[in-house]
Amino acid sequence: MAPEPATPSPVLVLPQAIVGQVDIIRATRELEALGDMLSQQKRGGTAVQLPPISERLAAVIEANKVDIQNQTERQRLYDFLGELKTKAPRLHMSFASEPAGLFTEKIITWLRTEIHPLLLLDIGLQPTIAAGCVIRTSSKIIDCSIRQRLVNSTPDLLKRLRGDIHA
Amino acid sequence: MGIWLILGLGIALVLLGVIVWLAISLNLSQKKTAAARQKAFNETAEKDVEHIFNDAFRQELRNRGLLHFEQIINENAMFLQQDLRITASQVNDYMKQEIKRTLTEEFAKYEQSIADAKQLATDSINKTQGAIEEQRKILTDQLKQQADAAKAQLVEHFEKNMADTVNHYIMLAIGEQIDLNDQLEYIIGDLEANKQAILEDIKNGA
Repeated sequence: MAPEPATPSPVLVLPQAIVGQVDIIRATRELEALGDMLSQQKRGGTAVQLPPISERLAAVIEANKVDIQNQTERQRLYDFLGELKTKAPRLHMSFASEPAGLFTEKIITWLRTEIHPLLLLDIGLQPTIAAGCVIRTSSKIIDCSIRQRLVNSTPDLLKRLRGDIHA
Repeated sequence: MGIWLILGLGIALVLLGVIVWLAISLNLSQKKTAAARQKAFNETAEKDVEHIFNDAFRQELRNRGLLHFEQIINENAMFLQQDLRITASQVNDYMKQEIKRTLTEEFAKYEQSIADAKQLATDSINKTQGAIEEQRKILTDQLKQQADAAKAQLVEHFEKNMADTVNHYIMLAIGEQIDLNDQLEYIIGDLEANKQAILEDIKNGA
């Protein structure tokens, strides 16, 4: 069979369904398994039947308009995901409780709009925060929790407290 | 002349001697007479006495003597009894006075010793009270110092850990009621505030 023609590589986008590196790794594995299955079906000469895929991978495919049955495009997507895994900018945010999907979606939307379109967000849990979040980059920790606000406001709070006591 | 003198003196002496001899003889004779007379008188008296003081008379005299003697004895006994009573009364009065005096003295001494003991006890109690008061003051001062130090330490500890304490109370009070969706606006605001820092970090990391 003649090799399929190389199509020009459009700019790949990262959908909101892919949040962090874990999603990248899962999507990569799923894509690999899908590729293997499709290759086997093609070699076997059977009609190609697309197996059910996760929403995550489906979102990537849809966002980038990838023809999943095209091996070249699958490979390009696979390489893209591989590069993302190693080179994409990463941010870690810790919250007091598990965020809902909509919340995560809005956060990731803002980050990819304002910071970097391919930014990966790792979400962690830190119940001691009580409220707010803690942002960790590769070299910084930005504490936006209520605890840090209280620490920053301690001198003012003490001043007011002493004022109230003496009053 | 001398002869005549001597002769006169001799004659005087002889006369004197004769006189003396006569006097002595007379005296002796008188004594003999008196003695004889006395003897006669005595014999006569004895006879008369024997005649007067016969047995009945003697018995009578004896009886009278006994009565008189008994009378005298009774009188003396009565006098003795009176004297004894008077003496006993005087002894009683004397004993009473002495006992009273002695008891008064002893009670006075006892009272004095009690007063002295009471004074000693009062002094001792006052001294002890003074010492206790001093100790109490010292202990109060020490306690106040320790309390102030502990209070200062607690306040310092609280001020040092106020943020954590308030954070903990917030978590206990409303920890489970805080919804992340309610915090979205504030979190986005924090991200906006730190946007440049995040951008620089990602740029430097890339």
